[in-house]
Amino acid sequence: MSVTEQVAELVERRNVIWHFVLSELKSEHRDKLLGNLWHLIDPLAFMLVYYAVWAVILGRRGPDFMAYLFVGIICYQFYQSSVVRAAQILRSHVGLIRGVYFPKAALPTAVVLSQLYGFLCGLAVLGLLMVFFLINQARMPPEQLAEVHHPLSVGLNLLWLPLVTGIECLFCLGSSYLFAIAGVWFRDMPNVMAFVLRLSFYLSPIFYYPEDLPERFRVFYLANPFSHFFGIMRGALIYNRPPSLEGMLYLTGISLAVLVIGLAVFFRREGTVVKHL
Amino acid sequence: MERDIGFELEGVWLKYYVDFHRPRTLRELVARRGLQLLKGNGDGQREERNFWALRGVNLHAGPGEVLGIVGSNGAGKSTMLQVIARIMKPDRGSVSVKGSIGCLLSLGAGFNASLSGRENVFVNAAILGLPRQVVESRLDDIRELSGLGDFFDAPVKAYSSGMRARLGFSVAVHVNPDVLLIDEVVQVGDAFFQLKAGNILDRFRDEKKVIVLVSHSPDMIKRYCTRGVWLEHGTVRRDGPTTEVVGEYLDWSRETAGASA
Repeated sequence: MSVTEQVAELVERRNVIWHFVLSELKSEHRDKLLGNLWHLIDPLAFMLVYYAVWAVILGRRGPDFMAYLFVGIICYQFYQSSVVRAAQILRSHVGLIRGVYFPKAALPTAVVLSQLYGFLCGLAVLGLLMVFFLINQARMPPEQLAEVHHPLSVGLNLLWLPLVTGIECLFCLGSSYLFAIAGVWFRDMPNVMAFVLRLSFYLSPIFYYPEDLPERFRVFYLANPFSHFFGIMRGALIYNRPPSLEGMLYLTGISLAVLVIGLAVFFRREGTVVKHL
Repeated sequence: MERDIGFELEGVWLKYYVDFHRPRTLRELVARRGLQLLKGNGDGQREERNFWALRGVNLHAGPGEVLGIVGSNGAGKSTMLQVIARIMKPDRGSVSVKGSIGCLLSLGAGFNASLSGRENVFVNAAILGLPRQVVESRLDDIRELSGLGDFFDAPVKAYSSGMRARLGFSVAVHVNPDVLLIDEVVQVGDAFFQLKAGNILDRFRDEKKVIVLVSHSPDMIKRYCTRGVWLEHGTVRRDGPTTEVVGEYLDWSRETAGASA
């Protein structure tokens, strides 16, 4: 079957994807005390820690930093959780894969979709937070306002959200397909990934502003798709600023390329990967 | 009114990697490749450790045929079923299947042991793409054929191997596939189940479906199958009338056993 035929099959059997999404969501937090609440608590906790370090302890950030942080965190965690889980997903369904035929691409697809749900939960929390942040900002005395790096605002640019989220989903999907295959071949994939993801976490403007980067790192910043993703997301969600054309084009281009490569690699390899599970 | 269902395997070769020293980590891979480059070994070492489970298998079946597959353990029978079911892709050759496939392969392969039999039916159906309403309408029949009674709602963890086989068989049958693949595990069912299963096989054959049955029971093969296939060391050694094929296989087994005694 050619790659296009396999994609068509995946679309035809999309209820399989849905089944796996539900089972992913159920199993992810099944035995934990707070269960699905962790979807909401995780990014909040992360944000509070980084805010405490940078704004409170180091005193290097203004009051708007929390919103800036939160967007970066939920966006990055969407990607990180997807690829980490995708790397194990085939192995964790080995019994099913060996027992009955189904389009295996449904598994990493379901991983991304279930993480998308988490991302949407994060957006809901952000919505709530923004209410407080905006009220707080409106009440700020001028001296405090001067410390603000960039005033928070919400407006029509919110409408960019679905498009950018969609593009980022394509990027996550492509990456997940690649990592799903790689995760079967190399047992220490999780360790390698932990390192690479940690590196890219620090190379992405999550807890620092792009202007803080020294000139010589500008090229890495511009090449990193996350930089553009965060910039556009922040523009849409907290700054009411339209996305830059170059940023959008670059992000779309990279996402489509990764998706196509990911699909091609996955569909070529999925038949032989069964033997290594 | 013969529907166009069946399958065809042409020149199918399939290998397994029985390489216990396959690089499991990136570090090993780099070290190994580095050594290979230095010594100029190339891929010679890797080929030796490949195990060809199927070697040029040619097999076909059409509507109304019930194939009985016999052969020694490790001959490649289960692998061949997995290739027909598209679970494994052959390294060489082609597979084409017309119609929907239902399989009963290894014991509880498709089962989630912590879920109940009932829940597993829904999981299985969802994977196969059966709408929920259809499954619900057939649920009673599935439960009845499985003969599990109250255990239907108990976790599969608690099932015996025979119970798992019966559940698997019941599900596979009620999916109403065009091509039904049954691995030898169905033998662990008790006598009552064997009779029920046999009736189903007869019915499927009358409905012009295709069945492939792997069995070590000569009686079962002779009773239900329209054609016998003897698979040995990954090749089809005989393909023909059931009694002949089974007879030859048994004679050969006795000779081999006698020789090594």
